Amino acid sequence: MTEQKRYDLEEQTSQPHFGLVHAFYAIMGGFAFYGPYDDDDPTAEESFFQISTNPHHTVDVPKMNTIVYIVEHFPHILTNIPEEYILNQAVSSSLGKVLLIVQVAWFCTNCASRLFQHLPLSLLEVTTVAHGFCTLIAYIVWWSKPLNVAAPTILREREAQEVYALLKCSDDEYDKALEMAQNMAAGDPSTLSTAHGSEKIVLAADALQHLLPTPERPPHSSRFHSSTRMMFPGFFAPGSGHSLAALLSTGLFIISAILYGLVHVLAWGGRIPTPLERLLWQVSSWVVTCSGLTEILVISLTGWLGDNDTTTGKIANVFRVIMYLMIPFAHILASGFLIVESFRELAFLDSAAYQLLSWTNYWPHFS
Amino acid sequence: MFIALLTPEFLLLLAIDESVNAGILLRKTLEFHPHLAKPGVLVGLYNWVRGRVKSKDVSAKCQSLVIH
Repeated sequence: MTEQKRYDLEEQTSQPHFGLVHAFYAIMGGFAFYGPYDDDDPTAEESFFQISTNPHHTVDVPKMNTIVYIVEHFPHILTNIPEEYILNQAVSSSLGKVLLIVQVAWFCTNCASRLFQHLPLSLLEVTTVAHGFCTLIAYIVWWSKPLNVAAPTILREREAQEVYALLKCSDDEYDKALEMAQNMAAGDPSTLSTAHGSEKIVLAADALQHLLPTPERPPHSSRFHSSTRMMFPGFFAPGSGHSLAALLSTGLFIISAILYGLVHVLAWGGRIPTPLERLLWQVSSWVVTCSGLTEILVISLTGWLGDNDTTTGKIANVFRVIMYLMIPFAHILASGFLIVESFRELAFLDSAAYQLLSWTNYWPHFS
Repeated sequence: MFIALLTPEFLLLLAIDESVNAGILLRKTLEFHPHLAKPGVLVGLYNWVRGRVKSKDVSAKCQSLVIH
């Protein structure tokens, strides 16, 4: 390869793109800012460019409304991170996902075939099918999500720091930064020194310069995730995103709980050891099936009744708190019983439960 | 782990919620900046085979054949 060709290859930089991988990465907290711009931080005037071990420095993960503001006005700070870099952070590959989906699909198809051929299904198989069903859908909707990313990508470039400073500005600081940006655009040299404001305001003014003449103010509500909203790495609690997503998720939560429970309802005709256990299985199946719908109905109804300050409203609020605790507790208890019972039933299995379908050997799988 | 065992449908809810949010974000981004749209894998490969794009426009996986 000639030097000229090597030079040309180095010159080739991929076009900036924003696809589902970037979107997932942003939503899951993959892009983060790091710095001292905390309002009640006594070292707030410390330079952002210092590599610091200061415990007051924070990693700030932007919320959905903030990400939308960033992609609208400063998309390059996200698209500067190429998709290949993000995928390189992920542990799971497409091949791993395909293998898992094929295996789970084989198991679900196998169980369905046993039902059609009137062969008995053990309760453990029923429970596993319900779990497998949820796993299949989760893997399909997560196809483009980078999985098992251990740490966020800190946006450290100069432009990202300017945007971070802008996002951390209070209303007063924003007004000062805007005035400074307008003066800088007008060519007033006296504004170029940091004497007129802190480093945060100067950086924010630099960011605002790109948005003149009519910059849009960053979102007023909280702009970054609280650390308590992170349930576990890669997951923020539901409801932290768009209102349309919250509405859709509520509906899908009801549907998924019903489908998960209905799979257990199908096992009523199975060989459950004792009548008491059969009754408990039936009750638990219904509790799991209806808990999502009941929770949403109770929250909606008591929320409507609890708006006024009457005795009815107060009773509704107390009832809502009780149901908030009772329904998840009942759901977990019922779900736990279904799992324990499915293992207990293994000791009472019919010999037909061990018969294998011949076609399953022709579907590549691990067993 | 216990959440996955006891309430897999809750994990499914999280997955769907995240997916819907990602879709909304992508739609908004392409609404603001249509030029950031990323061609799909099949379209990208087809364009590369037909010579419509240079190696810089396809992913690093496809470039490995070019850098020799």
